[in-house]
Amino acid sequence: MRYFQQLAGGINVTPLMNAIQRQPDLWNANTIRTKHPGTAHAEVSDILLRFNDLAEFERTGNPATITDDKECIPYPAWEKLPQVRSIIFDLMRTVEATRLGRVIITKLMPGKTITPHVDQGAPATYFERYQIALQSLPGALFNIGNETVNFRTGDAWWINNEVEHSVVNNSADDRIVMIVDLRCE
Amino acid sequence: MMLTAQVESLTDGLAEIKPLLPRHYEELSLHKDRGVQLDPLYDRYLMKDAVGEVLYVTLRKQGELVGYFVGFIGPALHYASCVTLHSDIYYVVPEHRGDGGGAILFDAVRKEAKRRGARYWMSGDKEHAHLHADRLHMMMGFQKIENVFGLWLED
Repeated sequence: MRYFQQLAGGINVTPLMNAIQRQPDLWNANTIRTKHPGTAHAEVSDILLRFNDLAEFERTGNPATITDDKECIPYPAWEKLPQVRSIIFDLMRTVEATRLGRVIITKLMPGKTITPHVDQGAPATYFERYQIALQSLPGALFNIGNETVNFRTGDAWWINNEVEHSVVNNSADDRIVMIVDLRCE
Repeated sequence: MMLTAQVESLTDGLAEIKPLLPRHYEELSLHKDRGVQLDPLYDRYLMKDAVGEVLYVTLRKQGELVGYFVGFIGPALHYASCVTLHSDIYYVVPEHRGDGGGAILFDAVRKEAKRRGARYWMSGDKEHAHLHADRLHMMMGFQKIENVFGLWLED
């Protein structure tokens, strides 16, 4: 496949999923990705663990201060979900990453979609995008270009987010993935 | 409610497809009229899957399996340079017919077969129950190229 590469399977995501389950208030503490006009992620719920500092954006309203920003800072969820660290750092070792960018846990309910889009700015051009499937059942389909993959729970995948992509969740439960942006050089 | 088709592993999905096979058999089998029970050689299917020769595509509705396609893909016996897909079985449960499920299923099969390098897809339907399948094949662009005959030698 050209747009997907599986890096691992069978990652133990249970401790992290249980920690998320115990802290439902973490969802949508920040809706920057899901509420801006024209967003492809309108039907998604997010937990931002590491993301851009939004101070400049809140001051100027200029979206380029987010999309082109290579710096990411920890958000409160980073301290509240320490279970992510072993997963992320194992991934970084696997791909010999030199820098950690965004870390987002994102949930798509059954019957919902992430509409077709191409990622812009540093998350597409500076970082490589990886996804770890925390919960993904048959019918949760990730489309990139002319390729389609159904992640299995515990999978880690590299994905090409510079090509048009979309997600359809036609499975029996929420599709929950952790997005991890890594600089590899 | 949406219908989606996806490529899956027959080995991993065998337990899930098995309960649907009797319905398929009851609806379409001519062997049952001769008292021949459905008894697939599952081990042969798994052997073929283990060497990449099986193409298994499921049709799902909110995660539930409501249809499937099983085919064999690889170099053709007569034309080694032509990777060919042969349909083995395909089925959409009756309660989910008429809403485009067959087309969604076959479209995903075509997409995956092309991605796998197949140049040709041979398929068929049952003469006694071909209305929907015939229409589906024609809509997909298939051409009728062959007649297949059956003879019970005990007669």
